[in-house]
Amino acid sequence: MTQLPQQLINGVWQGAALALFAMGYTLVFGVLNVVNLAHGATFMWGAFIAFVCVTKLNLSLWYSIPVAMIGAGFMGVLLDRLAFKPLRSLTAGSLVMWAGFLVLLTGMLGDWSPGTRRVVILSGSVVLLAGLIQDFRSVRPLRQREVPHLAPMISSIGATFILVSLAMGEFGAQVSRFPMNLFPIKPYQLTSNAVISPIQALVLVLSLTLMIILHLLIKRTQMGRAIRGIAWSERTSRLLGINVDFVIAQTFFISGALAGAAGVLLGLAFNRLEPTMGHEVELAGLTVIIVGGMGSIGGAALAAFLVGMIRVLSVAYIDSSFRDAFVFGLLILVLLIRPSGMFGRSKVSRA
Amino acid sequence: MLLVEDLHTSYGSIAALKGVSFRVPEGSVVAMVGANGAGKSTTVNTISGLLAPNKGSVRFQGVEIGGRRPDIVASLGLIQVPEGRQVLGSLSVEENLLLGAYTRRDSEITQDLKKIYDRFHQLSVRRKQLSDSLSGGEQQMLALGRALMARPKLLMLDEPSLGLAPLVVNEVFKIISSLREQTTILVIEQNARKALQVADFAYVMEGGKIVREGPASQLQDDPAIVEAYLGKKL
Repeated sequence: MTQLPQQLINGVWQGAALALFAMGYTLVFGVLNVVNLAHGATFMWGAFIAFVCVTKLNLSLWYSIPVAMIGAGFMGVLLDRLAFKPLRSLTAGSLVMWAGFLVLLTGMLGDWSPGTRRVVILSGSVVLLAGLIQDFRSVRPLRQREVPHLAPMISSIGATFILVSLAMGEFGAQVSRFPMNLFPIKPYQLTSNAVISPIQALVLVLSLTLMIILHLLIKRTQMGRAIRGIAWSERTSRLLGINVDFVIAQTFFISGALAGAAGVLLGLAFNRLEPTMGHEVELAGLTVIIVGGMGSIGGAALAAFLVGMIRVLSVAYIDSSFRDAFVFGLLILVLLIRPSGMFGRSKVSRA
Repeated sequence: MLLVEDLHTSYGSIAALKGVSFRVPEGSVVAMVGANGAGKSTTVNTISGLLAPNKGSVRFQGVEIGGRRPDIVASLGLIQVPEGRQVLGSLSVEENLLLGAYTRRDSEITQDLKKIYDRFHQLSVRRKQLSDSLSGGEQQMLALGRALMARPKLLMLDEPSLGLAPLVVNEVFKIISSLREQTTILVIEQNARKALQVADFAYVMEGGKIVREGPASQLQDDPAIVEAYLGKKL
């Protein structure tokens, strides 16, 4: 048991990064009642955006992390406008966006000469952007309706495939790594038998900082109140003058940025980037938000530390092949005792 | 201030409004009474932009707003207090009030918050509580206070007395009449007697149409109205 302090530290920093991922996940669920299964793909892209910043653009890590967060945030907004919003309210802009997006995809994945490729990608992006602007400014949608929960979920699975394929096309299926000299590797000695590497400390500090910022944003600002208001009742929020679709876009931005941050941080900590890296965190994140109570941000944060700890401890003391079994064991246990999760509101009380 | 002309709204193929026309002059309290299903709520929801009209016009301060998005309508100062209060239950009382001022960008929001607490003392006592935990009467006060936080030019109250105890209903109407110096009011009510007491002018709706209109005091004494909506006094 001498390695216990060390394992606890590992559990905490991994839990913190998982919390970033899960809080954005549950935030979107709270507002839209939809599980955005493409959240893991956004996570992966966050890591790769930082990778491009560092390796191709020679930016320092301190710039790369915010750039990755902003990039992943905009990816979240695009995801909403392409995969989710057209199902709720379809505008002419949505159709234009899709046309632009298809051109963009053809440009990125097709077999073109570099010059043609650039032109196709550029024109696709311009059309996409024009559609996005129209969609944001649209006053009256072509069609507005309530959709069953399943449709947006399937559509987010589709988005995952597209985002993963794009990453495969761009970076290849093999593992990419950040340059070794990016970060000091000499670990800090915490106690006689526990260390934390600088990168792990960075993950922990940055995750906790972002968690506090998110908490203040949600609890203290008008935007945060609007997000929670929509989660309770979209209709009433509209009557209060809240532009619901715009606030949903803001929510997707925050959610995407948090996923992106988690992606960069875990990508750095394990120094292992691959297009499929989102799948595993997707499942862990799903467990976290169910255990925490769907839609509960605090619950997700707490459950993330719990799941992070269980993963680390089960690998250290039992067997790495049993890791997921313990995580899903926790899921089943919580569902048996409290079906709405640790901090979930049961739907009955809302009647 | 508000001018509605020949408004038609339908739910799918079922016509709910069949040509509704009325006006709410600035500074007045106008009541719209009628039985359940007469189309009163459909009327306010069409004005608020929650429903799109098939035909007809809604002009607010000279601007056509028919079919506009609800948040745009609200930001013009046309605020609806929806039927059944609809407080945002997972938010505290104070957060509900602050969200009422969502469309405002001025610096007097905290001042207004204080005014609301002075007017509705119970709310100030419960400011940190989740609004879900309030009683029906308190929730109605909160819904009113939240609407006032927007500094409405026209306040539309949809069934403010619905589901409240008689004593609380009296209190709600007392508040409504005290609001008349502050804003123009359109009140939708099944409780015709109460509504006619506070209103200057009233419209009677039936089957998606306005069937009668006149000064509220006059309608109160109209034998046909008394029989249909007020019941005989014993």
